[in-house]
Amino acid sequence: MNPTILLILVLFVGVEISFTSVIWANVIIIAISVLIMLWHRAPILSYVRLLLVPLIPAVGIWFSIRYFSTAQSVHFAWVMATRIYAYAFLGGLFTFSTTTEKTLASLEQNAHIPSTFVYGMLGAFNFVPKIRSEVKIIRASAQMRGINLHFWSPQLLFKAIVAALNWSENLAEAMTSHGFTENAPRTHRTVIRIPWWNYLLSVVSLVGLQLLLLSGLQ
Amino acid sequence: MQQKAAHSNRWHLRDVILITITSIFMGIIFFVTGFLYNGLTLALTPLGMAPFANDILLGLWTMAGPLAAFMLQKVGAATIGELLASAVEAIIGGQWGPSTLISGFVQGFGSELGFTFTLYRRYDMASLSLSVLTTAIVTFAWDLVRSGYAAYHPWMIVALFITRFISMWVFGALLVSAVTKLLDRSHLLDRRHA
Repeated sequence: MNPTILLILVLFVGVEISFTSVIWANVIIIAISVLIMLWHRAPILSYVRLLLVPLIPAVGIWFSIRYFSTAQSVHFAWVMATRIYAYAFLGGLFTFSTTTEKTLASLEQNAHIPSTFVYGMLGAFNFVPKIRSEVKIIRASAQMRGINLHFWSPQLLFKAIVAALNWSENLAEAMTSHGFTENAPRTHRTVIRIPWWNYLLSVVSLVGLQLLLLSGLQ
Repeated sequence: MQQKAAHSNRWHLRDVILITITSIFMGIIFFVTGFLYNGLTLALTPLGMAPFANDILLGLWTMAGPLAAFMLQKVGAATIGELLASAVEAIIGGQWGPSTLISGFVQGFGSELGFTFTLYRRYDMASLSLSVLTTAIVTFAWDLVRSGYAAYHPWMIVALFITRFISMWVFGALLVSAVTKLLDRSHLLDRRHA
């Protein structure tokens, strides 16, 4: 499916289940996400991760709704617990259906996000390994002077921002000197189109979700 | 390159890259927050107080907005900064996937409002505190629905809001202003704000 359409669909579903309390809808969303992940052959470990990571918040919210909500409703406790899992699995569905590069490319071509943002982000993501080592360097050099920088130290953030300022100037100039012009019209080697069945599938899924939510209302 | 005489509201390539790199930095520095959050939730769960873990730490996650607003001083900087930070979090493997984007937008919009009320003229402790207040109100309204806060007893709702406001003030106002003071003394941002 086209990443932009999928993103809009996933966000729409995410917002809608935030405003409704139908356990079945959450469970079916989780099941559909698992099916799609199976179809994309997601590794076994990713299911384990998706099951384990939300466990703590889900159990936590279950207990607090049971203890401290005015109704102390078991139903609502399960709604919240399954909602947290539904968010996590919607994330899994999206992650295994596409890649960051494809999503950003599609956002540029299909959603018409300004190219400055798209290519700026793409460029910046290449710094991830450098940023990791920079954080280590900043902390190590502080430790050599007997100072321990915690993640809440202004010094750590300040030094990180100084590095970010240098890198952003350099990268922006490098991109400009290679011919990148801010928000100028671009041609694309791979043109991303939205197939008609994407719209059909989105409409069918959304209608299905509404029916599911309506049936859970009474 | 530096021909902008008047302070412009246009987003340039270097602004986007700067905010994204800063967000990745924060994402990596706050990666610890995820563990902290889980540990705190675990500790508070037997008491039924798990939502407090979220509110105690929320200030950390909402720092990107005010920091971006301070660094760039543009209309929309807080919203775009927080949204980009949440996109970075979603991409480098945050646990909530694309729904992080929704939270990021809500948080960014919240902190943006504070700067909007000052007409984007003041960038000091007062506007930071105002931005913290609007962020707390907007995100809390969202959590009343999304995280089911509306179901709790009134005393718990009030306690959660106060916790959230304090957390946001400590990180979003106190820490951000400490960082920006260091930046001001370094004069590194002068050229950008000229």
